[in-house]
Parts: sequence; C-alpha cells; structure tokens
Amino acid sequence: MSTSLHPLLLLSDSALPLGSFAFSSSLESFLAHASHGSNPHLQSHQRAPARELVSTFLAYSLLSVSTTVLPFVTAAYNSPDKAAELDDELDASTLCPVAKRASVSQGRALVGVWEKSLVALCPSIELQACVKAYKAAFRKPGEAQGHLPVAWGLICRAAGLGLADVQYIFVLNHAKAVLSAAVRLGAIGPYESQKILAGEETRRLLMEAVERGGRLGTEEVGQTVPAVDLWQGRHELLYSRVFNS
Amino acid sequence: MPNPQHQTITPGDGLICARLLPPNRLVLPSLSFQYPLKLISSSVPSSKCLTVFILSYGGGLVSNDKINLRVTVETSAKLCLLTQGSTKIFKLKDPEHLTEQVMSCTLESGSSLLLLPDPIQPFADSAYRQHQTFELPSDDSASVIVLDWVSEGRSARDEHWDFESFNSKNEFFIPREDGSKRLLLRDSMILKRESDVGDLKRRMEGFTVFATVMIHGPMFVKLAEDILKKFENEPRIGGRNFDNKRDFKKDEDKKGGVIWTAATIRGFVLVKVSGKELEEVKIFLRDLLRTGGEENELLSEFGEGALLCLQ
Repeated sequence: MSTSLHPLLLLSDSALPLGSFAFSSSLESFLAHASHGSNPHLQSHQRAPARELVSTFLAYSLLSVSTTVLPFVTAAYNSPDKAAELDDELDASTLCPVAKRASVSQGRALVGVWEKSLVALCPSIELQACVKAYKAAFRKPGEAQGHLPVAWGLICRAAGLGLADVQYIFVLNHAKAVLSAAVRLGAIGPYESQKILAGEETRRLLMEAVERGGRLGTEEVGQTVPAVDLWQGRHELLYSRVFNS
Repeated sequence: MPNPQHQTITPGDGLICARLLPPNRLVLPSLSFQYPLKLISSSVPSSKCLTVFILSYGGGLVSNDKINLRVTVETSAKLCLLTQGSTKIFKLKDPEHLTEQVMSCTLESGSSLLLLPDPIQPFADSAYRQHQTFELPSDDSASVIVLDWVSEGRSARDEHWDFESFNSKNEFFIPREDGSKRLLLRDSMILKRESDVGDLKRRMEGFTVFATVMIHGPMFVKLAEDILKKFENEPRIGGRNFDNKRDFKKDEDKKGGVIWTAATIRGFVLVKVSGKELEEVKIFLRDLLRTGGEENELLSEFGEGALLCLQ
C-alpha cells in the first residue's frame, strides 16, 4: 500500500463535508432549458431520454472544467506559496456569480475541514504555513476568495498526494457531483448513475480532461463550451430550483 | 516627445491616440497603420466623440495576417472604435499561419472607450486568435464598453462552426500600488474543431452567434444598473410568472431564439447573449445598449453613431 493511499481515500470521499451536494454545476438549468425549449438544439433534445441528456451534459461539463479551472488545481499544487495570487486570477476568470458562489463555498469548506480535521496529514511545516497564509488572505478584500480548484491543489499537495492523482480526483469528484445531482433531480436512477460513472466513456472523458487541462497554464484558460456560461448564468431565472448552481 | 508614428514598422501594425484639447476639442495626434490594417477616422468636428473605423483590405483577414493595434485614450478623451461589416477570417493555408489580431488599449484617467464592432465571422477551415487587453488607470476612473462576438461562419454556404480554431481573449488590468498589474477580468473563449467531446457544431447547441458585452466605469453606472434590472425582470423558466402575467414559453415565441444572462463581476457588468439568428442577436444587443431611454449615457455621451455596427 502506498503511503498516499490513506489521504487519497479521505480526500476523494464524497462524505467530505464540503457541501458539494448543494450544487449541480448548471445541470439543473440545462435540464430546465431542455424541457422548456429555450434553445434550438435543446428543442430536439426534448424527446431525448433523460439518460442521454445527462451524459451529454456530463461530457460538456468535464470539457469546460478541464479548460477553465483544472489549470488552477495544477498551478496551486505546483506553487503552494502563490495560492492567494492564483485565487485572485481565478476569480478574475470566473465570470458567472453562480459558478463563483459554488466554487468559493466549497473551497472555503475544504480549507475549514483541513484546519479542523485533516491538518495531521501534513508533515511539512512550510506547507501548513502556506494553507494558513492562504486562509488569512480571505479576510483581506481583493486578495483571495477561497476558490475550490486552488484550495484543492494546495491542500492535496499538503496532504502529500501526487499531482496526477490530485487532478484525476478533482475531475472525478466533479463528475460524481453532476451525476449525484442528476439522481436527486430524478433524471436518472442511482444504478444508472453508477453505470455512467463506471462506464468506459466516462473514464475516457476523465483521462482526456486531465490530459487537456494539464497542458494549459493559468493564463491560457478559457471557455470551450460557451453555452455552459449561459445555462449557468440563467440558473438564477429558474422558477423553482433544487440546487444553488 | 518622440513621434510615436515612427514606432510603426511591421505589417499589420497600427496606432491610435485620442486626446482632449481643453476646453473640449477632441483630436487624434496619431493615427497610423500598415497593410493589411486600415484605420479611418470619421470624426466630424461637431461629434461627441472621436470615431475610428478598424478595417482590413477586402473586408477580411487571410491566413498569416497579423494585426497589432495599440490604442491610447488620453485623459478625459472619448474614443469609439467601430468596423464596417463583419471581419471575415479566411481559410488557413499553412498550419503555422494562423490569423491574429492583438489590440492593446491604455485608458488614462477619466477617459472613455467604446469598442462596438461587427462580429468576427470565421469561415470554414480558418484559424484565428484574438487578444485584447485594456489597461485601466490606477484611480479606476476610465469607462469602457467592449463588445466581442463571433458568428458561425457563412451560414448561407451551410458553414456552421466549421473552422479549425477560434480563440478570443479579453483582459482588463489595473496597476497595483507597487506598480505591478492586477488582472481585473478575463473573458476567454477557446473553440477547436478537434475535440474528444464530439464535434464543435454539436457542442454549440444550435446557436449561431455568441456575444459578450463588458461594461465598466463611472460613465456607464446607470446603463449597467438598468441592464441588470432588465435581466432580473426576465420571465422565469419553467413556471408561470404571475407578476408579469406572461410565461416563459410565450416570451420565447415572441423573441425567437435569443437567450442571455447579465451579472456584476469585480466592478464590471458582464452580459452574454446567444441565439439562433445573428439578426435577432444584433437587435437584442442594440436594444440592450439603448436601455434607459433619455438617460442612456452611451447615447448622450457618444451619440447614436456609436451603435452603427448594430444597425
């Protein structure tokens, strides 16, 4: 057993109290737009089975995450002392307040859990200091917000995980959150959700997301699925909603 | 002071400097350009702002064209940058020869800049990269509205997002106290035909145009507020809106396929608009920028001509 298996399992556990259950990464808005015919292609989705809609959205979402935020996971992992600066850069690149809310709420929760529960995983005083400095920056206006990708890269580094694992768990957790939201929205059942997660297609998407996002520097980030920004922003307009994003 | 015109040497380079001569005369102390870029100043003495058209020979850019435009809007000057028709991006000839436009704008205290061009129209098999940077003054007193939009190509020839690649990035910077630059906002779109997640056309979900409007600064406070209000009053999705006595679907029929979102981010109001038809999106954008009627700052400060590309 490798020494990093224990922290890896702890950090990939969906029981980690980050409140991720409150966010659907705009799946809810996507499904609402599909069923109410708010865009031309989605109108053709209208008779599509829910499973197909969820799979389509998952692919879009993983592509989008890989080119917008994954580079910040890598950068924070590689430069833990620059976490606050990276956080401000990510904040400037996150153009949707709905997405920002989701990211900051989970990022701050992760830093909180780290401090209260997980800090024992970190043998390095320097890395512990990096997390402390990052957290202190939340209190100074305009320095750092506590975005999940930066917090994730930094804390996984402090927990002694390898970079490839850190990137992979980040996108895997994202896929798990989207699928779990799909189950709670009643779009698919729990078995279907696990089936999608275990499927070859999803594994390929995850590997490709890591590979694609891993090549990008933070200055090269950008939206690869522009419609995601619209669905995300229009989450605010849903008449009734289950999720915060 | 060295004549900045001498700095313009390589093809595609351009320089625009807008200045206010007290009490209220606006001049262009420098306006220079090299093929394939062409700049035309159309300001008449009575107009409210300086207007410069950014053109290219033949109305488009071919493979390996590199435009590099530097713009300075000096203290309290007002500049409006427009185009005449969409910027067509022609087919990539050599994988190394992508078409590029770089624009670096410096805004001094109290200045204002409008960049309201026609959309970029990337033809099939083209490859395009655009990078626009806006340096705001340290007192953050400059005002700016930037419209950046792209269409699917030559729809009449059945081209729908059939280009090789398209990358557009807008970045706004403000100086920190120590002199370094802080990134205030970054809007970036990366579209590539090659992707492991199905083809690009499918991913665009039937939309034929994507537009982003970025609004910042003291001159446009009211316009920005009005736009946010307009978004808040959008009919709700998936239920009757009892306040407005109209539901989402009916509104949908009336408006065709325009969908949009607006939000405040780090001192900017950011609007994203998309739709089925370019013409519908254009009308929507024109109405949006005219929001507020009599009190609309864009119209009162720059005049109707600023919306030329949206007519």
